Amino acid sequence: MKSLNNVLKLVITALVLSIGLNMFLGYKTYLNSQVEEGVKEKVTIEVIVDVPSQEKTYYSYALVGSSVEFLDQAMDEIGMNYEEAGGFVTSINEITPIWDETHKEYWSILINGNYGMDGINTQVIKNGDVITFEFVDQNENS
Amino acid sequence: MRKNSIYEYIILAICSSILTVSKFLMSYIPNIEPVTLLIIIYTLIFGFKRTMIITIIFVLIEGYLWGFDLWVISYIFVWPLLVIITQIIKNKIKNNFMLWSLFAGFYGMIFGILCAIPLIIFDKSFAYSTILSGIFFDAVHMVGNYLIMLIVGETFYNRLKEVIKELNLNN
Repeated sequence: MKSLNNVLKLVITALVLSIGLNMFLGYKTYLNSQVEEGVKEKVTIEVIVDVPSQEKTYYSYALVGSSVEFLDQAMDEIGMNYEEAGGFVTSINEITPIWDETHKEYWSILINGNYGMDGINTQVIKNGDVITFEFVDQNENS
Repeated sequence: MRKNSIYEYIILAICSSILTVSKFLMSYIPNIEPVTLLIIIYTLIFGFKRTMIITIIFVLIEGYLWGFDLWVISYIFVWPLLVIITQIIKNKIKNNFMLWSLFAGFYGMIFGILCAIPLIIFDKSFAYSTILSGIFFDAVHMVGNYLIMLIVGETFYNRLKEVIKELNLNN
């Protein structure tokens, strides 16, 4: 009876691990399928860097639909840096947000006016997209 | 547990501290946390009311530690909800820790969705993007919760029960 319980435990554990793995793989496949579609066509996107108390800066990119290609250009042109893990934008044009007990600043990513679904390095880019990097100071907003 | 005794307050404070400290100690591994395990076992041993107090204290401490933000609203919703669900199902599941492991895993899997529900009030697309970008972490959360409960759940439950008995803190 005890060995039967152990077998049952093993089977259920394998099932849980497989569900977890499938969730991860499904998510990755979904992201990759979106990127593959974009690679086939040439896309034009617009980038807006929005810092309060400064004029908005507009950039236009003609790419071959690749997020990676966009990242390379954006890193050069607007001086963008980001964290590999999570794609969190750390600085643009040498403006680096501070996040500590007193400062609550960050670069927000908006895709066509809505919050981006992912970090900048995994964000799928489509033709006509408008990507806005908005400098947010939570202390000023609150 | 003796009602309204000093022991009760001490135990509640210690349990809240254990929640906070254990979560902090494991915070270097994303979404692997002992909070689900502890809250479920607290509910089994201390009951609904006391665990709810422990959970609220825990959420407040988290807020003071990391800063009050949108995620605190999610925490206020998600952790007490775990206490409520555990209280509802505890008489059905009883001491079957295989089922508690599955429940903990399931709760980990839907954690991202539950956290996003209060965010719908502020911005639907923000809530939607939070769910989508968190799928990977929900998968980790599910497996982590399941394994933690499976490996240490029963032992921790029995030990805590013994301690409560030794201290003569039962009702």
